[in-house]
Amino acid sequence: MSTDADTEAGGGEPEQNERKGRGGVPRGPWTVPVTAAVMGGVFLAIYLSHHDVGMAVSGLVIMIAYAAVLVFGSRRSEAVALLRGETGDERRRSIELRASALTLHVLTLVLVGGYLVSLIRGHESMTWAGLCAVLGATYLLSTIILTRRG
Amino acid sequence: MRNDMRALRQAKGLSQQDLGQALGVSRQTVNAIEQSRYDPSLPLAIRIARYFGTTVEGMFHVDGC
Repeated sequence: MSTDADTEAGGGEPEQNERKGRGGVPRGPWTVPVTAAVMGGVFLAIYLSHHDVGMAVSGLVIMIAYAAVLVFGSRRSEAVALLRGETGDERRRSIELRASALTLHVLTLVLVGGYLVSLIRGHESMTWAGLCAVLGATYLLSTIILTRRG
Repeated sequence: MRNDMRALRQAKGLSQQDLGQALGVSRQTVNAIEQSRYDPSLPLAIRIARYFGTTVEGMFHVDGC
């Protein structure tokens, strides 16, 4: 999704070319595209092992196409640059942080909703319960750790 | 938060790209600050003010103040 900054100012390279991604993990400009391409290879291998050639090729093509969009689109769109991992200044890091928080909120709704629906329908709910437990424990621990760090 | 960054940048004959390079931020971030769509952190606000030889209070104006 494009932002106003895309349309008004266009895309481009952040001048401060930091190499740290979320959580301080080093992340160069090729980390995300290469990971996407590797994941395409993983999908290919998994689906081929299940003799599903259609899904194998589709998975590879989609992930390669995504990697190509990241590589060729990051100079034209700031949103694509962010998806590529180019969080070069404080505003971009803030955008990434808010996008991550929004994603967490949506995931929380989906996981808790899925757990409740599976309980109501009497279906197997341990998978949902496990995912909710991981979500809750991660949020709890990260809140404790981050408050201690200031 | 309103600010005088665009006027000061143009007075220096700088592009958003030039200013972004000088401040260590992206061109889009310079644009967002100029249009009051993004309020910079205190360290960045001080860096901007020092770059233009002014103070943070002289550069950024809280509405109603």
